[in-house]
Order: sequence, then structure tokens, then C-alpha cells
Amino acid sequence: MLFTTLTFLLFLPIVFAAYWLLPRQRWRNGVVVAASYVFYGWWDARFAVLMAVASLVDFAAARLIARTESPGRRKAILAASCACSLGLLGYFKYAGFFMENAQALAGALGLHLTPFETKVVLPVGISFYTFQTLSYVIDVYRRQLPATRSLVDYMAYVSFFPQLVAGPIERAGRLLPQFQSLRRFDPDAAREGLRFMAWGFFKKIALADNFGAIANAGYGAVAAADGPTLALATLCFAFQIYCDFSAYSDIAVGCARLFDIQLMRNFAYPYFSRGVAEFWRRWHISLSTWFADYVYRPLGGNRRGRLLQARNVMVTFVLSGLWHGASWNFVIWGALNGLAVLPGVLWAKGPRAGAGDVPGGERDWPSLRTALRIAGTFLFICLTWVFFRAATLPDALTVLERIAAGPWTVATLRAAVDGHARVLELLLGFVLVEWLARRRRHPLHWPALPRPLRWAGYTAILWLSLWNAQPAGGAFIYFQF
Amino acid sequence: MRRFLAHVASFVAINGALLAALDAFYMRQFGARHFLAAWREKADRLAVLDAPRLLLVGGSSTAFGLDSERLERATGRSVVNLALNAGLGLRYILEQAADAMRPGDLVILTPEYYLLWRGESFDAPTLFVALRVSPENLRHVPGSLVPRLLDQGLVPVTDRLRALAGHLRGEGENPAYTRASFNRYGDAVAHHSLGARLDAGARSYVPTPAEAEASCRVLASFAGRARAAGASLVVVVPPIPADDYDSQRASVAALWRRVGEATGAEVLLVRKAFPRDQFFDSVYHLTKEGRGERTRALLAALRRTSTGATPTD
Repeated sequence: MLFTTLTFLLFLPIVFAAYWLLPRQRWRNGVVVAASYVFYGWWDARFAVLMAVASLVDFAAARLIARTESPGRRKAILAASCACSLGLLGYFKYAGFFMENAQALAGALGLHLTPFETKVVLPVGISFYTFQTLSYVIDVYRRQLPATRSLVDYMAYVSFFPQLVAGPIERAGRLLPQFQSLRRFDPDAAREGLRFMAWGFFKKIALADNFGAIANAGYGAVAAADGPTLALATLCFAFQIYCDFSAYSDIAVGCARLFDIQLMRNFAYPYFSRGVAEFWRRWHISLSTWFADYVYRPLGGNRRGRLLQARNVMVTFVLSGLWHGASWNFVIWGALNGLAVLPGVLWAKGPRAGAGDVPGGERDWPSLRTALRIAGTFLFICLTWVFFRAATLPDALTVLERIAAGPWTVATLRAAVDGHARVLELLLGFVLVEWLARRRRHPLHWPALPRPLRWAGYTAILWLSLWNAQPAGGAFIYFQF
Repeated sequence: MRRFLAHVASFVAINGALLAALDAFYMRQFGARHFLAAWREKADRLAVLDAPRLLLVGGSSTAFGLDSERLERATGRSVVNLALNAGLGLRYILEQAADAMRPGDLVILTPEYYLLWRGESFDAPTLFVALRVSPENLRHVPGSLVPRLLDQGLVPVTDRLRALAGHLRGEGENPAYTRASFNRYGDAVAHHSLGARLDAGARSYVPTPAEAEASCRVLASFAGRARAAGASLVVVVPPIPADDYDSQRASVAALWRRVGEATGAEVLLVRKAFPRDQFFDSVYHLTKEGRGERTRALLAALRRTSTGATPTD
């Protein structure tokens, strides 16, 4: 079920009513589980069965680990659980990629492998809920978290519908206790939740889908497009993916607040970062921290010298790239970001700007140096987005080649932006609004305004979203991961 | 909680009122004159004519592609052209036709290639407009499509806003596509004075095997319902430009053979193609000349069938 549908707008009040009308916590969690499986099964009932099986396996594994004292046995159960979770993810997401590359390698070595064709449908959100179940079992193994006895609580944690298919990827230590504790309706949190949702809907419907139309037109005809057209398409993709993904997170966070559940922040104005390392502390925070805690640190982190630290950074980023998709494009995307992050990580001096800091600095307007650093970081990120967006590696290289070659003249620039003035105005307006609102979680927080004016503003946002909606609004980009 | 719910309800009511005002404006400016509102006249004609009738069923290629008056004269049967737009989707179009069939009727079904690609799919904006201008047709939406319809539920709002934006920009109506574009039989005729304007590009017509099978299942079900209703069914192949047909002859023939097997009905005009200057603005819409040629060919084909609708001219 998509957020931006009438179905969801009918579904949500029904679930909200059922949740808060029930007097007991356990029954509320039951409502969450039932609603979440309806939400997920709306795409395909088989996906819901798969998620249920994966959840049960990890629930049982954690219970066994918790009851076992033998380190060897605990490790074996953990390994089996991880193998099962990663095996499922590997089969649905990577089988075709690995077979293709195995065949190519075999061919290069003069061997012949029987062609293996997979026609596997990738279940929506499998990468997200698999990482949640993995982190739960690992945290129980590390004794950082007790194994829950309640299957309902656990399934509510895994399947919680606002964040099920595109995050934020929540840690059990943060989300599970919320399902285990008493929840009370908080009207202020609920109102803030609706504001988050309104901003998310606006970003998705009015912005992301419009930016996406230009990006798709450019990347859909790479061979025929010139440098300025592809540069514009890349710029639009940068904002499409940001608006699309952060919109989903905002809607998820806002929706969760209606149920008195706090989800973690996933984006903190990443395009105002002054370096690539800072960008990765502001972009898809839940995934970055997951990889830091479950890949980078277990590999040794920064505890074994710079050379190994560099290795650990690169492995983490390459795996992160691979998480996004089964293709060399994503591997290269991850590797490029890893390389860009290395100098800041290996030779960092002083405190590092993160999600808690004011993006772009404390000043109302950035200094020239800060502006150049922000622009330089954004430019680098855009260049890496080329690999993320292009259909194939040759396409990505063609895009970069064309962008470099131009021709960059007034005429070609005018031709590239012709017909897109409205969308570009939206883009600039959006950047300005984000900059002005960067000290807050979202721009719709207007406590100083009287209620009629606030409501007029929310109404304007709602109707602006609908006015700018694309005829065939797209699914959220991160569903494909 | 009460205060929160009261605020939410008030906000929803305010925006609901805005939405109602937008809808009222839309219906006054566009709805009553919309192409799809022509269903009212078609339904009225259906209601007053007794069986045995000749029912023309399909998308806009049927609305544009047959001369009902000539068919009526030649067959002695009253003709109703039920066709409007393929965007309504195959299931919906067939549900409407199934509802209309009476014992003794002859149904001439032209499932457009576009419909055969899409199986159970529909074009949300088109279907929503059709349901808004003729809400009684909600009963023709198959239950299995309701979830998908709900999933597209914001489309009516965005559509009305786009129509409003067009109105503010001074965009006029296309005279070929209004409620008044139809004659009393339900044929679209307003374009007859406008001339051919089809571009030269080649197109592909035949769906994938999986798409074709999905559509054939839907067609087979309809054929069963026609038999159960005591009506006869004939499938007529939609028009195709001659140059496109020449390059896809074998696959086109195979597709219609499959449709014939699935429905158990005779399939007519499989080898009939038209020069490009007999198409109006798309490969779905014939000019007056093209329509005349197709009707003549259909009558000749009907003489060779066992449908009991032997033309007399």
C-alpha cells in the first residue's frame, strides 16, 4: 500500500481508531501487526507470508540464544539466523547478479556454466526488515538486549507499517521497548506527526515526482542527450531521490507519532553538508549507523591502524552500495563515496559536524568558504548519483563524458531548461525553504502564528501538492531496494 | 483526544468543502459536456430498443470505426454503439456490455490492441471521469478492481485541478471529443469534417504472450456470459494501418486466432488493413472514409458468418 493513495488515507483512520479504542497494550500491538500485514500484503500476499516466516525464524533464534550459555552454541545459532536472513535477501535480490557475474567470469576463464535465469520478484522492503531482524538477533547475542518473550511485540517491531518498506531502519533497542511500554495518546505529538506527514506528502507529490519526470526524460535517452540536458537530469535526480526518500521518512515518522511511537530521524538536511563524511552523517542515517555498528566496528573500525581503518571504510561503503542494488553501478557508487570519505575519517581533526549540528553552520547565511564547501560536496554527490541512476555502467560513463564535453553555451543551457521553468522554480524555492528552516525538523512548524493562519498554510501546502502532482505519480524510489 | 479529533475533523471539513466546490465547478464547466458523458445517450437508446439488437462494444476505435446507421439498414436490427474509450479498461467495458445484452442480441466486440496489452488494467483518470459523469456505472466496476481504483483515488482531484488550470489558460475543447460528438446511434462523427492527421511512425500492436493470455481469459468469460444471456458474439479485429500490418502479419493473425479459440466466436476482418490517410488522429480512429470502408467490409464478412444477422444490402 502506498502512502500517497486514497486507500492509505482510508486505512489510517481505521487503524488509528482501532488502536486507541482498545484498552490494553497487548491488543494495540495486535492491531499494529494485523494492520501492518494488511498494509504489506496489499502489494502481494506472498510478501507478507515471507516476512512472517523471516520474523518467526529470528524470533526463535533470539529466544534460543538467550536461553543458551555456551558461547559456541550461541554463535552457531546466530550464524544460522544470519545465514537464513541474508540467504533470503541474497536469493531474492542478488541471485541473478551473482549468477551473471559467475557466468561472465567462467566465460573469461574458458569455462562454461549452464545458463541460469531467475525470474524472482523482489519483495518490497525486504532489505529494510531483514536488517531490522538481523540487528535484533545480533543485539541479543551481544547481550545488549534481552530477547522478548512476546511474539506479538516482536512482530509489531518488525512489521510496523509506517517504516516497514523504506525505513527508517529501527534498532530493536530503540523501537521494541516502545511496543512493550504503555502508550498514551499525546495530542501535541499527533499534531506534529500530521505536520510531518503533510510536509512529506508535499515533497513526494509536488517535488519528487516532478523532478523525476525531468530526470527520467534525460536518463531515458542518454545516447541522444547533450551535456547540459544530462546535467539538468542529474541535478533533478539528486533532488528527486532526496525529496522522495526523505518524504517517505517524514510520512513514516509522522504516522508513527499518531500511535505514540517515536521513529529515528533519517535525514538532516544532507545537501547542506560541508564534506562527504558529513553528508553520510546526514543522509539515510539509519542505514549509515546500521552499517557502522554491524559492519565497520566488528571489522575493527579505527582500532587497528589507518590501513585497516581504510579497508574497513571501503568494505562498509561497498557493501552499502551493494545493499542498494545488485549491479556494479551501485558497487562503484559506494566505492566512490568511500574514497571521498577516507581523508575526513583517517585524518580528521577536531569535532565532526553531524546530524545534531546546524547544517551549513550557525550563521544565517553561509560565508563564501562555507558556500564553496557546500557546493563542492553537492557537486561530488551529484556525480556519484550518475552511477546510482544510470541503467548501466556504460550509460553512467556516457553521462559523465557528455557532461564534461558539454557544449556549455547559453543556447544549449536554454534548450536544456526550456519547458522546465516551473519545476526549476520549485527546486530553488525548496532549497531556500530548507535553508531557512534548517534549525527545525521541518518547515511547517509555526508556533508563533495564530491557528487560522497555520491552517491556511497547511491547506495551501495540501492544495499546492495536488496542483503540482504528476498525472501518474510514481512509487517511492527506495521501494526497489 | 477529543480536541485533536475535532480539529482534524474541522480541517478535513474545510478541505472537503473546497473539494466539493472544485467538483461542482468541474461538473458545470466540463462534466456535462465530457466525451464520456455520452454514455447517457447510449444508455437511453439501449433502454428504448427491444431485442434483437446489434450492440457494438469496444473502445474509441469502435465509436469512430463503424457506421451504425448503415449496419441497421443492412441487418434490420436496431444498432447501439456502446463504445467510448479503451481507457475504461477491458473488464469495465465488458461488464457494461454484459449488463446490456438480451436474448437474441448480436454483440460485435472489437477489443483494441491497447486493451489486449492491459488485461485487467484501466486508465484511472478516464475511469474516474466516466464514473463521475455517470455514477450509475459504478455497478460495472468489477469487485476485484475496487482496490486498484482506491489506490488511484487522488487522481480525480488532480484531474480537476488540471482541468481548472486548462480553463484558466483559456484552453478550449476539442470538437472531436465532446458529448455532442456522437450521433443518435452512439457513433463518434464530429471529426468527419476535420481530415486525416495520423503521423507516420510505426507501432507495435501485439501484446506479450502473458498479456494476451490474461486478456483472453477476460474475453472468454465474457463470451460465456453472452451465451448464457442468449446473445450471439462476433469478434471484429480493430483497424490497423496497412504498412504496420504488413510487417506484423503473422503475429497479428496468431493473436486473433488465440482470441477466437478463447471466446469460441468467429473473428472477422483479420486481414483487413487501412491506408494511413483513412486514420484521423491515431491508429484507433478512422476518418469518415475509413469508417465507410470498414463497415462495408464488416457487412461482407457478416454475410459469410453463421450469426443469424445476414445483411440484406
